[in-house]
Amino acid sequence: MCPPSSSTNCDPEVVIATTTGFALKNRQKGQNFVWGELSDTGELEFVIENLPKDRTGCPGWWMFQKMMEHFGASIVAVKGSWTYGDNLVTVNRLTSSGVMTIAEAAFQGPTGQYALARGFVNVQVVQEDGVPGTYSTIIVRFTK
Amino acid sequence: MNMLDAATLEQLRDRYRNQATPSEVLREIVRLLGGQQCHRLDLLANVRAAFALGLGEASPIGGWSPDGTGELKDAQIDGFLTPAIEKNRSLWDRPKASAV
Repeated sequence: MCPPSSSTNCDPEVVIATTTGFALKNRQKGQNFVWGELSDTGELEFVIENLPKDRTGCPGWWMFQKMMEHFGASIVAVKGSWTYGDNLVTVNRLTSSGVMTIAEAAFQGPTGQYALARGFVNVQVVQEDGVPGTYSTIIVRFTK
Repeated sequence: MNMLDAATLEQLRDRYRNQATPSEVLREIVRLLGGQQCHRLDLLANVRAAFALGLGEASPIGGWSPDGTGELKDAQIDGFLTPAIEKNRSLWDRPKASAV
């Protein structure tokens, strides 16, 4: 698999590629990978990382794209389970002042943006632990 | 994927049975995988294999680092993983075959 031309230090290796699983790791960066699993109902759950944030490695958007291409039309919903990271930070920032609901804020983070770009325009909040601005866990489900 | 063998995974379960916290077990997996530079995908895969965790259940590991620099600290990762490990106990905590 060829890395995106704009990237540096991206040496991708697909380590899982089945009808229900896809995992890609960057051999050059230890905290850079995506791992997705598709349930029998078509719900995609995934973990994606590119740390540290030093503008190197395989970009998140590109790994997400490869995962979505792998599963294709089988995906009915994209699940986001956020306990740390940019998605949770975004939701907390945007809900702390009451500017947005969780559902609205969910589309502003990286996963929401990736999902939206692929036609997943609806979101359902499945779980919220905490209060606006300091949520510790958010689980959402994006659908078309 | 760099997977530990079945006997080693069982030793990790024993550590947990003997009151080790999930973060302590994670550090041991990191050590067994070659130290701090091990790939996080391998860490994730081995924790899932040891404790029958779903991907979502194991996902907080991405925010944890063995040197304490991760966004999630030990107490937080323990708080996420312990309920999941206990929920799935029937899947990984099987009686050991007795020696004949």
